[in-house]
Amino acid sequence: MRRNSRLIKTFLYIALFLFLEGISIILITNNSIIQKYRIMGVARSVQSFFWRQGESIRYFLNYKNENKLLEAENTLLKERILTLERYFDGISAEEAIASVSGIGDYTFIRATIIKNSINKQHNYIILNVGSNSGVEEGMGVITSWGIVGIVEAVSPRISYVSSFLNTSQSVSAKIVTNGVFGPMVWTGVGNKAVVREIPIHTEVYPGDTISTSGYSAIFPPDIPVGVVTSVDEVNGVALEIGVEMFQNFRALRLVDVVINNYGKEIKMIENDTE
Amino acid sequence: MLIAVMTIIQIIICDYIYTGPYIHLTLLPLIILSIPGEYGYPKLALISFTVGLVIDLVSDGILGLNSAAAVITATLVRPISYFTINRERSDKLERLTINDVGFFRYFRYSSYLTLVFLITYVLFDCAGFRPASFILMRIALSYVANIILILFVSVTLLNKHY
Repeated sequence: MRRNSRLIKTFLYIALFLFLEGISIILITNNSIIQKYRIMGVARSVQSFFWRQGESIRYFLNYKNENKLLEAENTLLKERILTLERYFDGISAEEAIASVSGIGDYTFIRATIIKNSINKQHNYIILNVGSNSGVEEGMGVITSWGIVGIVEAVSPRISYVSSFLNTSQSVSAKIVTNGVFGPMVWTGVGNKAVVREIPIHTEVYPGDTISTSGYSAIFPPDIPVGVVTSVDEVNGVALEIGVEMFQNFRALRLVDVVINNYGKEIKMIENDTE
Repeated sequence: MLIAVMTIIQIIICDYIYTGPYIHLTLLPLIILSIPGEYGYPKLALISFTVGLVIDLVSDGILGLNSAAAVITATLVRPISYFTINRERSDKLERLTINDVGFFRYFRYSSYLTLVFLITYVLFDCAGFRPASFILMRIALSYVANIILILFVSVTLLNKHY
């Protein structure tokens, strides 16, 4: 009994200390910008340490699912190789390589997610790569199952990604069968998205595949992102296509940051013309 | 009463005495040190926090700096007194004075408290954007200036029988 009351007393003292110290630190951060950034920096480092540990545990527990995803990705890649082999049938490997440009339009940086929010209206993701690895603001983030988000802020070792599960973010997507494209946005619910501003005469049916259009210079073209679930007329002038995304944001772990090798040139020309 | 007088002196020091960037002159460790020992930790922490906050509010500095350092110092008053004097003796005495514990022990006790206060204060104030050499120099010089001030006030104001 006596030991218990002592324990409670110690706990209350610690709580009082943390409370008073907390108030003081809040006052400091609210009254000085320099201290604010310094303290927030320390807080973020501590936070990211716990995120990393949490992610390691989650990864360990999720091994089985991770393997399934990798197997599925492997199958997809094999299918693409077979398709390409058929395409290059009768041409030697050297000729095939020579027929495509020296460098690809896109290169990728492999990254691991250390924090992923999915329950908000404006979700975000933290990656374990930053400017030291070549990541820059505005780069796209993808997996083989679709788009993940766009890099918004970068520090030397981590990146902050605005997830596609963000009601204010849109991505240019197209209907694979006819190439008609429009902005795709998340609906705010589960894995559902809508492609808007599709001309009313477009032939599109449930089950059709939606992929990235490649017109944004952020994401490569033809990455399958989802399948059409519904087609609705909006005010009799356009179609709104309901999409079930392939990407399961709950099971995300490994992603690729997209570097558009012509991105800087595209931006330069855009700036010049503006 | 004593605490109020020292708080006023501290406010005067903050507002009217400019000691340069390397020396931070403060009576707050002494104010914490002179809070009666019979008060439990909650009272000690709350008084220290309030005095720190009043000094922050009245002086020109960053709000919260003195109170943050004061709360940490108040938390370590007991452990430091047990370590530098001894548990039985420091529990018995209402307020530790030079006369009661001797000059050397009192010097050690007030030195540790002053250092705890200054390290916390200077780190909150400068860490991250001032070079380490500046921070160390500021702590060292402030410590020397403050310990002289604290011993002087302890002898003249707190130590009636010395």
